[in-house]
Amino acid sequence: MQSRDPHGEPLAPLDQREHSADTREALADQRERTADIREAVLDRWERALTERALALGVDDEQQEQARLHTAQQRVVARSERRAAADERRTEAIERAVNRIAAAPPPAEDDDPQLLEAAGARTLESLLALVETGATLADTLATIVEIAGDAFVEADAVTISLTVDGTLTPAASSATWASELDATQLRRRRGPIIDAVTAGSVVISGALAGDDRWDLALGPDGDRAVLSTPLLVGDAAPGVLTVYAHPGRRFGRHSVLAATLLSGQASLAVGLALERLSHRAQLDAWQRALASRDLIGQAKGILMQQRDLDVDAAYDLLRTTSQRQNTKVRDLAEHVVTHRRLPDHPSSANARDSDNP
Amino acid sequence: MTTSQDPAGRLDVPDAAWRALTPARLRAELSVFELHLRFIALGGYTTLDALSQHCSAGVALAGRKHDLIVLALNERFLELRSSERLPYTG
Repeated sequence: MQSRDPHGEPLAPLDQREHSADTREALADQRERTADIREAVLDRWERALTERALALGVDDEQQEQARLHTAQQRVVARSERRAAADERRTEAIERAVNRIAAAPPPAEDDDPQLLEAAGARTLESLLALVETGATLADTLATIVEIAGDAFVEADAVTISLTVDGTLTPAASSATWASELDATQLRRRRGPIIDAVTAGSVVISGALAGDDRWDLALGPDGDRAVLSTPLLVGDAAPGVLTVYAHPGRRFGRHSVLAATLLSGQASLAVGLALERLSHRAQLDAWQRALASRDLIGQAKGILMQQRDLDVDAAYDLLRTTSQRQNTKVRDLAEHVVTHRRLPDHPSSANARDSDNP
Repeated sequence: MTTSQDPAGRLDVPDAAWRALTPARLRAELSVFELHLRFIALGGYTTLDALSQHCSAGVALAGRKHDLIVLALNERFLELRSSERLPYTG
């Protein structure tokens, strides 16, 4: 998609190329950093899961070898990424030298050094989120807050995430901004949709009047807007949107700032989502182990009461579960609680009819 | 293939029995990982790889683990309020 200046007009070809180069470089750096951190976290989680599986005795050497092989492949991929990053940086330095020689002095609120400092602060805040294991909701709320501080023009910030294949409002700093998001998502057009489709930053000088989307919006829509995609690994993406104060326009370096922020935010959101998934897996293991224990206790009770061996006790649980259309775990819970198998519902009904 | 037990205690099951597992797993909307987890929860004891090999290639499992896989699938059908049930071998 063609980049536009803060007023929504297409950039001059030279500026366009510089913006594209900056954007590509920033994205590549962010992806590299994201990949490194994700890999470190994945290594840690994989070790935890392996230890759990080994403790349970359901892992074997073959699987361990496969995991080691995958880890080695990750190390090779990391080296290749580093080499590519070195090349990119050399090119970036050359571009920067040429640009400094040609560029006019920047406006005070648009100083690249200030942007760089803000970027470093943002990364620090987001890494703190990752390290403290913040929940997805806390992560989104913090990103909204950081984005509000990062853009001097920002009046409100929102985040939409893909849930079950559909972009859905996930966080917002203002109700009216949520409504502007909801309108775009409902009509399937607007900067949020374009940012996802193009995978790059989209800016409009006036959302309501922009003929790219022809969105009929109330007075809240008469403001500049910037949407940038959140790329969460291979998963369907989300979008970070910044709505400007009425009458304000996004500055010259907004695209670069948005790209940097979206890269860092993508990392934090991606890890929060992975943490959620990892936690769900651990919870599932805990439930499985609890169920095993319960079934084991029930088998022990039945073996003792009925003088059965372990297989016969299990068969009794299984055939009862079939007959009563009940899960073995629920039967086991009943046995452990009441020291006997539950009555069959039909026999209970028969007793009820005997006792009017 | 007839049902037989080798010296290591691995129990073969009829071809039709193991061949029914993967289609049933797909109808039950379970991944191999989820099926393995349910198998463990029911007291089963084998690796994910061994369970997967049994379901996809009929590689024999020790003891009566095939029926535990069937039980895990049948309980899933119960959750889905489906009347489908796979037969047990034992």
